[in-house]
Amino acid sequence: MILDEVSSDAFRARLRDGGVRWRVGPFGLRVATRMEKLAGALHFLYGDFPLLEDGEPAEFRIAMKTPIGWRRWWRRQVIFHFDDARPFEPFPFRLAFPFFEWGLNWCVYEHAHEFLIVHAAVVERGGRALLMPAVPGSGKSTLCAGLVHRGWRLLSDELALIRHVDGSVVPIPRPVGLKEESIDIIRAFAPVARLGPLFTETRKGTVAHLRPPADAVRRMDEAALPAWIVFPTYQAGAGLQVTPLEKAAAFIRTSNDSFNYKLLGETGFTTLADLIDRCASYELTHSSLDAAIGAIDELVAAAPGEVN
Amino acid sequence: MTGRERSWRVPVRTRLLWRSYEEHFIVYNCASGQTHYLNLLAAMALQQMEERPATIDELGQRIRVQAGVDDIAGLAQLPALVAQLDELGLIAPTPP
Amino acid sequence: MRSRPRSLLLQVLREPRGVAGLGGAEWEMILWHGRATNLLGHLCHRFEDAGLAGTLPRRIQDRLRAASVMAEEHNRRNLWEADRVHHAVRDLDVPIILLKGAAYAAARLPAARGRPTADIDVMVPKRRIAEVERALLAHGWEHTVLDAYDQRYYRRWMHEIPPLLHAERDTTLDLHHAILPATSRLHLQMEPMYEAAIPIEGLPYKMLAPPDMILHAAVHLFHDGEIAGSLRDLVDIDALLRDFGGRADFWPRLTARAAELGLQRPLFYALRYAAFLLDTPVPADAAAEAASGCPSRIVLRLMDRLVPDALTPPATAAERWRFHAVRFCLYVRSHWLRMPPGRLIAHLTRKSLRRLLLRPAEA
Repeated sequence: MILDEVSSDAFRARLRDGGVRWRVGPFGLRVATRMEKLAGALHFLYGDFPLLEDGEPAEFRIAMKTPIGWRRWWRRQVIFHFDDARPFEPFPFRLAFPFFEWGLNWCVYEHAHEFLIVHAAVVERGGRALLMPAVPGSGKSTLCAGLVHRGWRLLSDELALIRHVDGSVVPIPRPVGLKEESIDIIRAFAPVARLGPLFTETRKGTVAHLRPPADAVRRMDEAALPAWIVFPTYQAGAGLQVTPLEKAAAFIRTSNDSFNYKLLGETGFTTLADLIDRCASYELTHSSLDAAIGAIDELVAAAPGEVN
Repeated sequence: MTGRERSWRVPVRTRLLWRSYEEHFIVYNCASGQTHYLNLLAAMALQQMEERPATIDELGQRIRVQAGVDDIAGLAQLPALVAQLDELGLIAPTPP
Repeated sequence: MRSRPRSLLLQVLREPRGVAGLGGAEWEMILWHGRATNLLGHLCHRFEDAGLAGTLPRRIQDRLRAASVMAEEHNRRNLWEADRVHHAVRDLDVPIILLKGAAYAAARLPAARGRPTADIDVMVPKRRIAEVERALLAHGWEHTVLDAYDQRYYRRWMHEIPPLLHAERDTTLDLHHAILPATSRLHLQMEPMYEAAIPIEGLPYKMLAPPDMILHAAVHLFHDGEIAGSLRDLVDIDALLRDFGGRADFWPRLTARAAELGLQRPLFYALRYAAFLLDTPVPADAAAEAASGCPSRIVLRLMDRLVPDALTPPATAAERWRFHAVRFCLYVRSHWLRMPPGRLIAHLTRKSLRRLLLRPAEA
């Protein structure tokens, strides 16, 4: 059963009463909250995700709560709870859903060390995955949102989960966060795209989330071997430029973009080195979504990816 | 014992993992958990000391032999390189 | 004593095979409590020892393995810090003794497996502390910023200089010259422990002899810090006792050493609560010997009421309240043990402003 099949009212009630348990990629979540708007956003943006079976454990227990006392009513806040702990300072009440997403990222990259976790968007086509490591201002999320409406499958928007044991990328196709102009760009680019509520005045300006395509969520148990790493840079007014990147440089940049490379020690080194060995790496500078997607299609056709 | 008479090696209990891409070398030190990016000369020097101990002069000589070339530009920097590798924990003086 | 606290985590620690047939909700509780007590990595190894690893639900295996990976990294970091300390003082010819987690890791003891640690603890003779401190400062360590009151407190009354921070590696080093504060009610001579320290195979450091290692852990848990929330320290003691307990003569040496150093009280508590909560096998005659460290009946009754609850992670709201109450009592006790009463009040008021427990307050 998926979240969509539970009515909004029932969903809200269950969130209040012990929490709802559902699976996101390789992880089981238990989420509890009394906040209505948050419930609505969760229900909409995670609509295609499956509920956990009765006996399945939820490895991550998350509760979103408002403080008691005067903070409940004035400059209201929301607190992210993981197990019994509060790993972060409170956020403004109205930003509960972005806070949830951000906190869930943290849960994954703090704990999921069965993977090398790279801060990157990942999409897949023809059984091969393309990683786009993130740098602020790179436009990776816009590019990612664009690609998944042009024949690519969403594996992840933020977190590339690379399995040590075989180097494959495991999907975690969560809502895609879009900022400022990207929101309108994607609306125009893909009219079928379903966007969640708008959040203004976040640290990144105005933010909205793209509901992940149903197909991507249905196929979230299909991993893919990586074949390409593309470091995107959005530069207004710049032309389109695709430059192959030397492997040593790709290694350094990807390790810098990894959350847990250091912690993983020798395993992290081996997984990362294998990733770099396996992939063709590029830098991509662009100022237009269409042009960037075209360039990616071209470079993928030219270097179809090794068959291991 | 002056600096040049000291013999250096990668400690026996230190494991190094290597990857090379053309003339770039990446080495991971399992003991320190650090990843290092070395140029050709540094990589050759480190690999020599991984195999067996060497004084600075012996190191220079072995590198010349391995490269098949006598006149190598960077060799004047060998003492500084060895000091740096020591600080990074990749090599240590051999026990007396 | 009353019956044992009901805790799934403690049950699993006592008998890992009891997890067969556990449901999702129970696994969630084990993950929750395991994370809260930093024992998930340890559990991972216990399941492997019992041959159970492959039978657990796949996603639980992943969580356990991930915790184990984190602990391995901590162990590696500890060993590297020890290496760097040695590097900094290598021309000084000073004997370095590793304590606690760093020692367990360096000596590859079972107690080290799956055990994450924040700081590294190293001990050097008191008369060499100043030169060692200078050498460390010359190699990238810095004093952590403490106000003048705390600096004085540390240097004059405690058994360590204030923690040193290595900015580049972002690690903290606790440099000790003794293992109890000079003002402690439990007077401990360090010379015997130094003299008995044994070399660690293959490494240029030493560690405490096994009986001293256990006594140190017992002193640390019951006399040196907060007992509340320190279940992992009790698990350390259990692991050390099980590891060394099989060696010939070990138990008589342990109890004799405790008597020799005046540490019968902490040993008594360690054996009592490890056996009670973790089923640590303690031979009857060793327990009888250790009973010489038993406190008065009133104190024993009080400790029996406080310690088990303090060491058990709370699951319900009621248990959480009790935990915080117990924790406060034991917190006061820990300072009582460290300082003469006059100083205690002054220090407690100041510290309590900064570190007293706040009950989590939310809807």
